Amino acid sequence: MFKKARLLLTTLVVLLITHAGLHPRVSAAQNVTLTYTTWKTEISTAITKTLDAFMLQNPGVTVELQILDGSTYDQLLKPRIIGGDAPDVMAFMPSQYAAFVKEGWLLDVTDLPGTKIMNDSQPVVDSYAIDGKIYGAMVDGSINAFPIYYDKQYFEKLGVTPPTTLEEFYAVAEKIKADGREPLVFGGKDTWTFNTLMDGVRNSEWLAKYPNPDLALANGEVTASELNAASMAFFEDLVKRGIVTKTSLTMPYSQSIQYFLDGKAGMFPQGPWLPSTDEFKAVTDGDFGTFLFPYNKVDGKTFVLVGTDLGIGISSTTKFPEEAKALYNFLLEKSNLRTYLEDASSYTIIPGIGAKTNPILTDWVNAIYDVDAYTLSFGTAGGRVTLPGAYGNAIITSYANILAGSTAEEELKRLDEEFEKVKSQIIVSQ
Amino acid sequence: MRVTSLSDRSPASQSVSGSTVKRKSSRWSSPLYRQEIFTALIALTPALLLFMIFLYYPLVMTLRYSFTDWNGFSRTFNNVGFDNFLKVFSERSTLNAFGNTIYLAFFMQVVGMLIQFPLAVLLAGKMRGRGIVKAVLYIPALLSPLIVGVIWSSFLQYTGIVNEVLKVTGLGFLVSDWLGDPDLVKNTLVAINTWQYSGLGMVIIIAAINGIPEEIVEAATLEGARGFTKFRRITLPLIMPAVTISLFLGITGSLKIFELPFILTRGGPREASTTMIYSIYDNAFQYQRAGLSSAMGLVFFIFIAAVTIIQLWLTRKKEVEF
Repeated sequence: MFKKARLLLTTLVVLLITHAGLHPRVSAAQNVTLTYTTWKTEISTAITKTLDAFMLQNPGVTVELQILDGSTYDQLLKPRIIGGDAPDVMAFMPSQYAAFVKEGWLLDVTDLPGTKIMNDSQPVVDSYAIDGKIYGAMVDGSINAFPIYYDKQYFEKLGVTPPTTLEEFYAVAEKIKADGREPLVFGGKDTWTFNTLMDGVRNSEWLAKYPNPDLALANGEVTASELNAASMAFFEDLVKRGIVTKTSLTMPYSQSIQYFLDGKAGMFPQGPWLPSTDEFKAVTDGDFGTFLFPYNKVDGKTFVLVGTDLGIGISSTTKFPEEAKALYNFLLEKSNLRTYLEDASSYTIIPGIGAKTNPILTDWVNAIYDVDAYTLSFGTAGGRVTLPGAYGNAIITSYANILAGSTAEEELKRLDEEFEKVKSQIIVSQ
Repeated sequence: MRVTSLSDRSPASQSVSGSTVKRKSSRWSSPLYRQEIFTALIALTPALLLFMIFLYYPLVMTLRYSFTDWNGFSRTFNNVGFDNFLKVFSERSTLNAFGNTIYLAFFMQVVGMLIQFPLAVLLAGKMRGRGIVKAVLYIPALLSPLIVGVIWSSFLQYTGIVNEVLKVTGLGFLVSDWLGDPDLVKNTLVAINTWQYSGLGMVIIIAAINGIPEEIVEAATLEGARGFTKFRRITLPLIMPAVTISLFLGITGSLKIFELPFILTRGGPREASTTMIYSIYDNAFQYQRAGLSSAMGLVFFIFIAAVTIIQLWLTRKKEVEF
């Protein structure tokens, strides 16, 4: 018996040695497959182009792009990380960053060259600094006053121009309605689409008083219902006036793009990435423009919240840290970031990247940077607050509920109730 | 003809318990018998292991987490005693989800049965082309509820095919917000579920009807039983075992409904289609209250078990043997 065991052991050792000898250990840069996850389907072409360039520069390293559903990104990503299947490099939402760092899921990238790209913008660095260390970097910026798309020829036909006041907005909406189109459309089945208009409405109400409304909420200076009262009432008014209709309630995001492009809606609040979508690219004869919604003004100025959107980080448990760092640095190289931002029709608040703005967005961008009319307030003013995603979802669900017959009053009551459920999960860091 | 009972044929079972034990012990001493048991255990082990890992271990951990405030991903958590269980019975959203689930489960069974029975009786007969009709009705049951959700989602949205067809065919007055009206959405889910699973229930009942011995039906006919009376007095009692199974599958399935509201409505509008399982999912992954979610899961598991036990007891009482 002992003899047999000894023979088996010897065979195993010999096999191991010969295996190692016949197949010398491949260097770390060869035959490595990295995974990269994100949630933005619209940017798949742009990111694929960047990843292809990385793979060309790093033969032997394959990057597998995984685009997860945006509305359940958090639910899909967390179990993977806990289960030991964390993507090597991952995109994260602002609401995920602090929680991921707290759990030790992200690698310290403070000293990596890619991270240094944020050095030109102190507020951006502040967004990512936790106890003096940085665990990720911003790719896309966020301006919480999204463009409203319109068909220039259609506006000409109606004899209207992009509205600059709320009264003008209502007048344009009435003309569109009288012409038999929906004035505004959202892909409300994907409730985040309501934020493309309502986030700006909410923030413009509060930024003059609280430079960081989320911090005020976290500190108990203001309640969830107080923060959202004006925007909910405004949305209720839009529904009552027939400017937003039932059509928006059950329509998915992708269909809402087509609905607008088919000429069934006159105005379409959406992200700046819209021109990079396949649906938009397929239109060859359109002449589209954008304008900034006439938000609330305080002393003649509109307050707009800016911040970070998609960030990227490296998993702390990656088996290929060197390759993952190389990919991270590559994605954040100025020229690559520029290419990506232009292809994805996205933007950054970091100066000096030099990405060209899509011509469709020109009017919107010019309006935002009109310093006489707009004050940009950074989302981390006074401290970084990470509100649980469920709170944000509760807000956008309220808009859907109002469309389904609820009132602003009922929804504000529900919102306070929902906030109570999750307020213990708020992460505040000064 | 002499009917031989089971006991007549197995005298061993009439022996005193002592002799039975002796017989068992003598079998155990046989190497062949022991080898048989050993082989059986070896064969069962993989399945048992999988069962333990993927069913019982999570169940035990669910019990453990239900007494904690675990958020679902953190390495640390605190014990909170029975707090989560108290919340299950006090939170408005949970009670609403429970009410929705009961509504859906009840109407899915009632409407389902009302459709399955006539179809089964009709197709169990000698109707021409019944094979094709059965196949057509059964196919939806083979589809994944997720696929069904995606299909119906595009059909039933406000600007979807159903409303467009109604408008074109002059039935514009029937245009409704099938998925966006809180008063209508539950009935829409009942309709879709019935469309998907009626074929399955129907097939079970057809099999039972076809299993009724001809002589019983003939005897009943000779005695003057006709139409609905024959169905109520003869067919129904004899197919009750199939009804028991069909109801059991239907009740447990509809109480656990998740995919349809998840894909079609995300629990909305105004929480009108939030079901218990959806709420459990939402609490675990959206609100990051995995502890509460575990407690909800346990309470609901006990509820489903109780309901099905009562259902089995009630329907089995109606079963007759032939």
